Amino acid sequence: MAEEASDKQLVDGCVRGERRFQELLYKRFSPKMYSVCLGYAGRGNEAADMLQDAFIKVFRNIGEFRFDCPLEAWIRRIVVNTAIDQYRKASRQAMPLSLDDTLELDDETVFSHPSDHKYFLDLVSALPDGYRLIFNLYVIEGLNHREIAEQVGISEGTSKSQLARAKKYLQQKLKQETATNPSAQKNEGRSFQLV
Amino acid sequence: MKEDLFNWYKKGFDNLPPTEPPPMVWENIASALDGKPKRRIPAFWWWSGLSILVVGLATAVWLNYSPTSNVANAKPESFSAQSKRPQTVMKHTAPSKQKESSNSIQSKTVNSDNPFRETSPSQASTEQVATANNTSFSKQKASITSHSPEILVSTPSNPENNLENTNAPVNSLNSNPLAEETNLSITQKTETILTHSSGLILPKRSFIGFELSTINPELTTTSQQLPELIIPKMNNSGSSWFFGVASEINNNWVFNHDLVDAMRKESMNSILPHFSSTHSLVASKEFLPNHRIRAELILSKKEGQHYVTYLNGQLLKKDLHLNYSGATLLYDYRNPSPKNLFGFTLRTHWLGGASLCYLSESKLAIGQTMVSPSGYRKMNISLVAGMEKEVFFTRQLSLGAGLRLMGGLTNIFKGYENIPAWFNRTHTGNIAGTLSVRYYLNIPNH
Repeated sequence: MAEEASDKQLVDGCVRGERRFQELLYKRFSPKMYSVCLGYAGRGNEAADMLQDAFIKVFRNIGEFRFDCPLEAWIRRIVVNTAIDQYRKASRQAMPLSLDDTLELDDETVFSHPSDHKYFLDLVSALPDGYRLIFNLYVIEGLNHREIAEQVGISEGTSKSQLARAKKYLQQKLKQETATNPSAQKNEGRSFQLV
Repeated sequence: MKEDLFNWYKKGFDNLPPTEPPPMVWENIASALDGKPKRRIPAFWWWSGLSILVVGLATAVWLNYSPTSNVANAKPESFSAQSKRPQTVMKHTAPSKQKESSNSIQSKTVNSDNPFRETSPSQASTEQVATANNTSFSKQKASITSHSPEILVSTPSNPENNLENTNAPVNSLNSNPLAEETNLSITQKTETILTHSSGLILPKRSFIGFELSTINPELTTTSQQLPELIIPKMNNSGSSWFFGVASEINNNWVFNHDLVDAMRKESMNSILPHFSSTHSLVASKEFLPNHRIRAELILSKKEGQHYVTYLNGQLLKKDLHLNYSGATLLYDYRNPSPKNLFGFTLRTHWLGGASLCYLSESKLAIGQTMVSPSGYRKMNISLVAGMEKEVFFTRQLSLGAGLRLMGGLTNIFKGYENIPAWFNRTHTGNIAGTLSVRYYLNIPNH
């Protein structure tokens, strides 16, 4: 059964250009990768676009996959690289966010938040593209500033400052959300400290 | 439970459940893998093609316009008119003998010099012999002052058909700058045929309506070969200044990576031009014959571009607006050969120069949200080239229309902290149709 094909069989089928294996590979990994895209894109339509570009790259370059890592990790790496590419493309017309008016936050303030995914995605969407990318690369992918700088095409200092700004921006958004939606403080009983 | 923001974020990210993407994503991927993406001609190419077509057609029309007369190549034309009654003919003609039928008026000039020469006051002695219906015409010599071409005047010697003073119209013409009124009254009394060329005798006024109204209706039914419209060249020893206002309709582009990306067939971006108007005050000084320097004070100039991105069945729109003010300095070469456009003098100008503009305002509309991007340089230097046609409605008032190409030299994107300026080189460019009204302080050398 093709549905039960191993990663090796999927890759071999895709290398041969067989559509059913391509579709199978897509169906197997696209839900997880779409979640990654949502985390990087912030908005559904951009995430779909990102996913589409990423899987086109996957299928066009799958012959270069050497099974030296899990297939899912390899695809995820392509998705993240696509996110970086899209950011570089979109950032040409992007504007820096002015943080002049941001609230002075007390880093020791403790907030609570609901744990549902929609809330998290809304928060991610609220992050400016540049901040979100740097934040994700640093926090989620575990890259250091030098690696981020190389991949995104910015300086190391810029990466650091973007991360700091992203952190401050996230804190601000969380504080605003909590202030405008007091029920969020009670929800789930979870809290975290903004440090 | 206290937890670090990074950990909280990472947990939130990792806990995102697998989500089914929209079904059309796979359809698009399959289509792309088939190598049969929907054939789409980017908007950039549509607009570029359209602009090139419009510019090409307009240029072809302008350059191939065939005037009825060209001063430099003006040739004398004979004139004949048939009438049952004695006629007085005032005619601006060339120095050649003209003989017509018995009913026609015969004229000849004694002076064989070219009466349309541009320099030196013309003094033409004319001798006219006209016979019509047994009416003899007197010979008359007319001395023409400068700024007036030669005039052939024939008046009837028959007292019954004569005017109060046959010399009067000639004298009036010589002395009265508003001679056309005098001329008109004479015309009415003597049924003088003033062809459209007669109006050109009068340098200070436009003439076409005047000419038409004074043609004897009876003569309009007769065979007559009207002389070509000839525009006298004025002796103008001084250089001319003009001042005016100019407006442009701009077809703006912002040349950047997005525009390049939009040129690709598979691009999901569309770039559309930004149409705007530019308003300027214009002054020009002639430093050599047909060579001028023109300065334009730009009161308002708008650059920008529309961006439309198609994402997952949705159109995302973004409009960039950049408002400039500044100045343009142009070298203005005027084609020495004027042409005729429905009786008006038509001159062609070729322009080249540079424009220095200051960014007074920048706006970016993303959907319904308007922001003020700070990543654009204040100064923008552009090269300008163009062509312009100028029509003189009076000796000092003209209307100009033309086309211009402008290309920005400056990379107007100064970058942000995370995006260096070189990363997204951005240059302005536009094609503009221009319209200007000018008033010459001193009579230009038409």
